[in-house]
Amino acid sequence: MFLKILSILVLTLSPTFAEFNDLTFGTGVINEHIGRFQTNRGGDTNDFDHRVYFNLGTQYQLFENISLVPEFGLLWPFGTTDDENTHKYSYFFNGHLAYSFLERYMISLGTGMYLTTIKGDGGTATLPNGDGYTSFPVPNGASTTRNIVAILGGQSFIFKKEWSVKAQVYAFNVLSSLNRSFSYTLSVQYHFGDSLWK
Amino acid sequence: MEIRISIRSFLLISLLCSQVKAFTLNNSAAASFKNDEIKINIAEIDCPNLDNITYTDLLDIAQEAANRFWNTVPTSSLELVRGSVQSVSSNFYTEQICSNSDTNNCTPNAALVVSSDILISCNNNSANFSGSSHVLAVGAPNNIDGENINGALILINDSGTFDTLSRDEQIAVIAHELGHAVGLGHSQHDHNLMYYSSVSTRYKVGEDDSDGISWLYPSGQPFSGGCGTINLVDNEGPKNGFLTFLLGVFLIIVMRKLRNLIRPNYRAF
Ligand SMILES: [Zn+2]
Repeated sequence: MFLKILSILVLTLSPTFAEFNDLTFGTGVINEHIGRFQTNRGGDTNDFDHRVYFNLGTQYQLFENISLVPEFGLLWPFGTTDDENTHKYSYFFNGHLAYSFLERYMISLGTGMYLTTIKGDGGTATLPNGDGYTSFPVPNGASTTRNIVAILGGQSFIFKKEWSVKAQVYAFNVLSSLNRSFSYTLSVQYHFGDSLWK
Repeated sequence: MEIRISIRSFLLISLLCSQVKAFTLNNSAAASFKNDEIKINIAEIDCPNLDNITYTDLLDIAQEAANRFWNTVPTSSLELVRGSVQSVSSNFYTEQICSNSDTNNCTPNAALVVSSDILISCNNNSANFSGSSHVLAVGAPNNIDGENINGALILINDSGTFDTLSRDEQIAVIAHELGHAVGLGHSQHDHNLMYYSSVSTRYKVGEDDSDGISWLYPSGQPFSGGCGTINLVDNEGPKNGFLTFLLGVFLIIVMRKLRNLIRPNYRAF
């Protein structure tokens, strides 16, 4: 399914590559919803729980220093979790407005759709239930959460013009004091095209 | 369609764990509330052994349970809100939540059916709590119509034990039962609120809790304000994502036209 989408994405973009000045592939770590989840019995939270992510991006120059940067990414492992009966797929589609300066730096402000598909295998699980054991239904089927996110990003080219490092902060539910959350990414990007360098 | 509801109880002491790992549900219909906001109401029942807790205290505890746990999940649309004190029949104090004794296949007792939202009552029928004062409370949707939960009931064991818990533990116990009330079963891992046993250091939801509540009540931004939908057959996610992608491509094309309009001689790279 996702390969299909990826190929459609690449096919749709390829005729217009001439209009874009860059194509990037990146990988790095993401910490989702920092501090929102308890991770052990003692009460610690997910402050430094990183997952790997991959992203594909391109850059379309609008003006001298301003570009539009569409981006697709997915979290790895894709589909497997600690739970043998639960599968989780997280992926996002972003669009950033990026400003470049001093020939090697870029800051960006963007928005995106962050999706998580959670899928259960069905059947039952026998678990403790106070006085004994009970068989609980395991969800059968998939459910997808959709979140509009606000994204702040910073990027700097390193060594050569092909490589850059990138940091992003994702804000979920910005307007809600109860379930507002933040994720961040740290990644290395390889640039197949000319980006900021003249 | 026959729907099986399992009534969950919450134990203070530890038992052995089995090996299965997953978040679970507590009814075979995968039912959920369909309204945006679900109220937590308190039954106006005199509870002799909860003498340190007033109705307002219980409303406060329930509200804090919602706001500390379920309302914080970033990928869920569920919103549990403070309700009111409601006068109910004394059956809520004396009767069993199920009319049968099979906790795997509960037939809700018609006398205790909650017509809408979530009702918390105290109860002294020991059959609800396996005859043990260590089972602190039970909770379940007891009014399910197809895939819809219309109402759910939480019964606090009026054995006196709940009264002796710390405020944080009382909040966690109620939050655990709220999880059952909205359709969740237990989690295998002790860092989750839906673990069967009370843990005194329980401050936030765990990943199973978050996955479970997001599965039942997925956030559906930007179009759906409240409840999202669950597709029990196929995986809808990539389709949604693809639509968003198409929107992005459209935006890029519009921007390009716009740029050509502004700077017709701009050379593309
Ligand atoms: Zn329970």
